[in-house]
Amino acid sequence: MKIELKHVTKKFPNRDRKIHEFVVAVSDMTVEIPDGSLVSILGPSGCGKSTALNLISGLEAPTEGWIFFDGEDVTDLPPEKRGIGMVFQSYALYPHLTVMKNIMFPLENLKGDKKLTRAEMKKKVEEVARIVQIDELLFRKPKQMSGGQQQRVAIARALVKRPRVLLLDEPLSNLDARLRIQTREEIRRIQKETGITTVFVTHDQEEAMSISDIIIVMKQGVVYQTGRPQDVYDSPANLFVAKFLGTPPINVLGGEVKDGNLYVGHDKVLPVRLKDNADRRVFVGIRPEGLILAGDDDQYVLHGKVKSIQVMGRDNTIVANHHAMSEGTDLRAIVSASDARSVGDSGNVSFKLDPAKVFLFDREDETRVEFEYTGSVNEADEQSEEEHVEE
Amino acid sequence: MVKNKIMKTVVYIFLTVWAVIVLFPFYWMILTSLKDYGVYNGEFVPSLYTTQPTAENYVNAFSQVELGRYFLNTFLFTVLTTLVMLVVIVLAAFAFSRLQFRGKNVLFALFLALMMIPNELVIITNYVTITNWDMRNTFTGLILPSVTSVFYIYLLKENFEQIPDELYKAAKVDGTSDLGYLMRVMVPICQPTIVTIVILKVIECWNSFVWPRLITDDPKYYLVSNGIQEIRENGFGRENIPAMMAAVVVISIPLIILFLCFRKKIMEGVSQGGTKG
Amino acid sequence: MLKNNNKAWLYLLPAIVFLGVFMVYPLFDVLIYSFEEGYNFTSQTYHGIGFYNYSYVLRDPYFLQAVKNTFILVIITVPLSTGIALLIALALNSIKRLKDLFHTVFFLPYVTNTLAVGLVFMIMFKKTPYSDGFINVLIKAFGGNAVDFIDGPYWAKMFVMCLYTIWIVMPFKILILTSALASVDDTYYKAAKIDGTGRLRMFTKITLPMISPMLFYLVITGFIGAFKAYSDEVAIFGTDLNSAGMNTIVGYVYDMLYGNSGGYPSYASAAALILFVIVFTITVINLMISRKAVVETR
Repeated sequence: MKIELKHVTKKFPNRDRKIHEFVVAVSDMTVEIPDGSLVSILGPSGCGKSTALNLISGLEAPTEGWIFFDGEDVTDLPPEKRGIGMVFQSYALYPHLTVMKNIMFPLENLKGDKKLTRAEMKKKVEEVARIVQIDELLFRKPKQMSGGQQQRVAIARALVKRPRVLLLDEPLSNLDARLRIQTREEIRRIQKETGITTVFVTHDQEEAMSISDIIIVMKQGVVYQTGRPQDVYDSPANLFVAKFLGTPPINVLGGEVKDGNLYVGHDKVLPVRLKDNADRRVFVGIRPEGLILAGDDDQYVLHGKVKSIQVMGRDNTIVANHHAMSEGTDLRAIVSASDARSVGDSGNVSFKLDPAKVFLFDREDETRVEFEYTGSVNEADEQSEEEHVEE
Repeated sequence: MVKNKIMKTVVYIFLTVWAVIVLFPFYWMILTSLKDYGVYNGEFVPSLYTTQPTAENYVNAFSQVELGRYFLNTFLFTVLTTLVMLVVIVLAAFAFSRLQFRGKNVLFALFLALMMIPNELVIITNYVTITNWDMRNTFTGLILPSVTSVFYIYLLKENFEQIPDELYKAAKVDGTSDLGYLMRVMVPICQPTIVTIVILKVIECWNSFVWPRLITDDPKYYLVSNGIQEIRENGFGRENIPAMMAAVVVISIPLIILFLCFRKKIMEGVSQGGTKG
Repeated sequence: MLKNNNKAWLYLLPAIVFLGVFMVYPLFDVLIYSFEEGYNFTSQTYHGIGFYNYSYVLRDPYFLQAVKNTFILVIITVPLSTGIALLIALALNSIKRLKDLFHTVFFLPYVTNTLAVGLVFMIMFKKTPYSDGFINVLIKAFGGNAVDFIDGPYWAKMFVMCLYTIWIVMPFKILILTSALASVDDTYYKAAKIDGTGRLRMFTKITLPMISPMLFYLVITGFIGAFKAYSDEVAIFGTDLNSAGMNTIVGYVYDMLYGNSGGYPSYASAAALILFVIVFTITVINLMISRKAVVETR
């Protein structure tokens, strides 16, 4: 089912009663979630992503704006009439009920002609238990199960009514690292299998990128960017999105576009042309994989001083200083292990930049400043190919 | 080491002495209740044991005075009061812990302030009220003033608030009504606290004396406490002590059994919320 | 959670109605009663407003006797019961074997019917023409003279009254103090032991300060409880406490309301308010002292 949010705003009264200003949790949010897709709402804690989910579920009513399910206005509909299933961070399993009873709970609320007999309920529970693979745990109590198993029960309970929308609120954050990866693949599998439109809220960008069709990046109640994970990563709309996606995070340096070149400190790093041809000071964001060890004859290079090399197996990270960076921040470059070997543990290092991995941002409002790479095209192609091989 | 051993012995002797002081009245009432009326009255120096126990006093306790009726009355009174109170306090605790409404904090503060009002102060008007409502010598009159307890509302509210918010949201998403959530989720989860409250209330009801004494003068409505008083002043020709003791034993037994069954629970509950003395 | 929920008032309705009728209204009503002079219960009329009820009560010898009895009871039983309870709790905490058994036995009086066991105390202490009673047999065995504790001299009656009160209130105090003692962190004792602290010093410098909040709680509730003594007295001396000379303030209130003196809610209200003022004052004084004491130990 297609979900649309149109100019949705949610304000809460301030917790401190004496302050009469409202806290704006979600501000003028307009997004479209296509039928059958898995969409992640991604952002740091307090960004309003859980509120957004609660608005979709109907647990909260928007202060302004409309919500549509398949074109039907559901803004004023209570949660139970929206046909949704929801999974909570702490799973919210009823501690006094068995797994079977927990999953059956939503079915028992059905009234009128939707009312089911015990046998029908049991059949439905068993069916959904099979999908999430907990059919052997039906008579346990939540306390007697591991976190991962509880998570599956929570998903089963959300699915048992065959909802049109599945909402997941930070469903993986209570699991340990290994289980988290396993469970998120599981969620993806279940979503594909059932084809239910799914909205997934998380603060973990890796999690969001790995399973979503679309990600919505939020900060302080405002949607910063929406798009396919790879598109957002490759083309962040602003500095926040660029910083939020990717590990290790993007390198951000102060820079300046002057006379057709991009300078970082004293280093002339890239031949560029801005759309308006004007010279200006900018923030330069360089993805760690966009820093390539430079040869002796390269003209455009970024000079650094190696602090350490972090071995990660396949790739290594060179941690370096640059004179234009502020105290306490380091330049991070991901290079292949063999390349890293050619760089000493200390001493100087110079990088050339992959223009596809470099983004410029306005100094004032931190939005993206488009630029055109004016260097040799071949060189750029070569570099990006290299990049793809590495991936 | 020797000093330690002496210390230990002193401690045990001390504890045993107090245990004897506590237990002796119980022993004495059981002993006396088993003595034959004639034998008891013949003992100028009461003996510490009896060689010919008799059950006759127990028969008398039920046949000569209306002990059975007092028992039944108290049982009814206890069950009804506890049930009605449970409904009242569960609903109120739910509103305070889960629902949002204007004036909630002020109202709750007022409720808490009521905890400081001693029963002795309000009982006068309540007596007049119940009398004016023509409810003397009725169960309704007995029950009404004691079906709310601010303290238990407070205790239950605190407990309800421990239930994570997400459970409520989950239930809402599933279309559970507030009342449904209360009955199907909150009450079962907080069952331990509710059991504690029930036990404390049962003890209170079983022992209540002052209010029933004011509000009933018809022996048909006497509770056990009033029954005991009645027996003492008018029953068994006033002097049949063994029969009185038999009645006392019978009256004491239910609570002692309750206590032995729920020892841990009761002691926990009392240290949490009971006061006596 | 979802919205401003006016249904909440529906859930609160029973509680509000019951509390309103049986607690809030009476609170104001009792004040009014206490100032209505010459109130007649049957016709529900009165002929003036003033302090007559108070002055009557304060001049009534039965009331003065009741006040005297209550104060003696309070002054004797509160310190004694708290002190003995502390000793017992300390003893209980120092042993392992039989601890549970003792604990259970000591709690028994809490779950007994006050009236019922009071009757047992009565027959144990009473001296009749046919029998000296159990206690007098003991006294005689130690070379004393038999006394009738129930119908005899004032001090003897007061003795039984205090003893029974202590017997009744002990379980609660032992329970509270035992759990207070058990909750004192063991590491304090370990640290003190390493420093070579003696037993007595450990008690006065660690145990006592740590449990002082609970101790004061018990003293305060003990005072309040003892001032409201009534049932225990009825249990031992019967309902006609005035003629036994063993009435308490609460007993006086009830007797005025109903019972042998019969139907004077105005006097009862005045007496109840005087009791409330006494209890309130003493509680405030207690709280002030306890605040000081607890701060000092920090």
